[in-house]
Amino acid sequence: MSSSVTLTAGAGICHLPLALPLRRGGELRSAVLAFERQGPPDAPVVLVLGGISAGAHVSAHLQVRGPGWWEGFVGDGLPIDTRRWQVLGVDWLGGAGASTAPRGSAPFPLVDTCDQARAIVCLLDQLRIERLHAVIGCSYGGMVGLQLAAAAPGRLRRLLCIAAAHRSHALANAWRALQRSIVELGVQHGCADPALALARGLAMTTYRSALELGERFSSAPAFTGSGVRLPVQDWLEARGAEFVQRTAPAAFLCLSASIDAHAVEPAAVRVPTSVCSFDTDQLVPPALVRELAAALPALIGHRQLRSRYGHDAFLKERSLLRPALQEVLA
Amino acid sequence: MLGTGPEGATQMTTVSPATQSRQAPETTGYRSSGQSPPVQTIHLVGCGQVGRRFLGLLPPQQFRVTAVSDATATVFDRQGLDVAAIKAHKQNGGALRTLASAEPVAAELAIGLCAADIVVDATGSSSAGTGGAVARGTAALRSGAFLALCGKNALAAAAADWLLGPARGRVGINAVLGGTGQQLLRELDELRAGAESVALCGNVTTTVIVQAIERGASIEAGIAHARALGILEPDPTLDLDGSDAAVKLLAVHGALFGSPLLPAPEFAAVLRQDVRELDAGLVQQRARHGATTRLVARGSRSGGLRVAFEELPPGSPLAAPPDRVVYSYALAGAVRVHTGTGIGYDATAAALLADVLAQQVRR
Repeated sequence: MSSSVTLTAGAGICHLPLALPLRRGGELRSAVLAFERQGPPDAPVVLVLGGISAGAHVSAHLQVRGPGWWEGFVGDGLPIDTRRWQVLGVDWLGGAGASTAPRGSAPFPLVDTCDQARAIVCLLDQLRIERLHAVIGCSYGGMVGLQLAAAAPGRLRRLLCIAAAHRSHALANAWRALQRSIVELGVQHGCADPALALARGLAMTTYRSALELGERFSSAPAFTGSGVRLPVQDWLEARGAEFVQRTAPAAFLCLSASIDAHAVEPAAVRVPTSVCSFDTDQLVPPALVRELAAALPALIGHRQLRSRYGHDAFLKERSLLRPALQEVLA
Repeated sequence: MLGTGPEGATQMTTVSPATQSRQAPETTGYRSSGQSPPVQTIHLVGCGQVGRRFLGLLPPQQFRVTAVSDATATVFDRQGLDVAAIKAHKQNGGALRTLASAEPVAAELAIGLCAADIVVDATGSSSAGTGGAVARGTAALRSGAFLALCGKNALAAAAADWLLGPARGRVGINAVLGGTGQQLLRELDELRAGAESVALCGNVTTTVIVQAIERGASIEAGIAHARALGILEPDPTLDLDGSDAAVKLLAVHGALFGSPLLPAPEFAAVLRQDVRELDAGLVQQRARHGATTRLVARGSRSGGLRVAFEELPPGSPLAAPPDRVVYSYALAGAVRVHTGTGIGYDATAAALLADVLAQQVRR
């Protein structure tokens, strides 16, 4: 019957239809989708979507000076040049931002990537954006971009899908299922935050590559009495603690399940689409992206990129991704 | 005398203990604990559209309606009233005083005498009835009951006393604020400490009128459209002249910035704009540029209460569609937005029930 969200400065809100039916059953009532825009108001609009930890604030700008999730990629003079393009970002439904999301222990329905795409169409309607110049989606955002292209092909000119595919890989499903089990166990036993930190630590090992972790954390362990302290542990614990500060366990569970529920028929994606994969990506392996690319009816190209950063290469590899960004924005 | 059983055949009769045991099996749902929480008793004040719907929603296993009052009388039975019979009687236009078991006692007095666990005041809002509504609420709280409200005038007059004083936690305002009252109370400490101002878009009628104007209608045609949709009151003055929004603003302003020790701001202190003063051309011009117009009520910690039609950019949280209300609280560097759908008879009754169920959980 009611919702409570907190909007930070510079964010806007889209009131979604009173009852938004969800693909996997149930509905969201009086839900809102939070968004942020930067760049010239009359410029062509580029929708930029990130992973489940990302949100509407893509990068720092005059109105919102704090760092965004894709710094170095978006801004004046950067690959997505906000002097030329108006950049639109959203907070995911069910996530940690200002959009409608689970609160506390109240039940919350499964929101899948198709539902996210439908909510974005509502936002485009409200903002009177007839057609996006491009959609650039990374990880979960790439999955939503594929759904958007399949469901509303008239609303976008081109799609760039980075480190995402038409379905989840079984190994990635397994890792996420374990992460959710850890959090659920923590919730049951009154230690949800430590459990969430553990799950995030496990997730980090899937986001990065063996190559990177081997290079960064190969120094000798410290032996403390009967135990051993590994160099990588500080990093895992720091990432977990940081994640707990900005994410509720219920929001993590919601979006983690949403990734696993993702499925889109590549043949339905008729918008001209570029795809990028990274050779060390354990979550979305290049073979899965090749499967997608082979089935896309309007494939522009598949860039198979080499990176030591695994799945998270989309956050790190600005120069590697620049040609793909230029191509989709051209 | 109140508290006695029926004294003859009437259209409405009170239920016997045997009937009651069928209606309210007190152990249902609690067997595993080995203890049965007592069924709570309810005194419903106002048995109109909202009150009757509320009765229809009430789970009989958990609650027993022991008293119902309307403007004419109160019926009472400690063992539980025949709710269906009362609903039917009122549905057919009957006043409670025509029932043989009714007592022509003012509701505020009956509330104390009946001493129910919960008083649900489902009477509508009216400025003329504010004194009575405050008296009923005060009587309920004095008797130790939980009070669930749907009338905004009483809350506007007594918000600080009821929400911040000794009765804190015993007043439900979910229905008053269009289904957002529970959110406000959950966050009240934080918002009282950090909110600098409140803004609300809480009048659905003017939203419907504005949207019609945006589509090209004149103000008169917009009002006629709202009437045709059935959302205009028989006397729509309070909606059209901004009074409805002003009273809601006073209610929430009192909760946020009021003090039980200080008098609440007077209704006359709220500057108001009448929808009939709108410039339809300006509204349409804004719409062409992607903006919209809404009746927005604003108040700050330092006062400055006003109700006016404002231009809202796309993405403004206050640009609510006509099927919901929005209350927005300005915090340092952020805005807390409460969105509610407690509009219309059914949703208002559901909002009342949500308060009643929530207090039961807290018990």
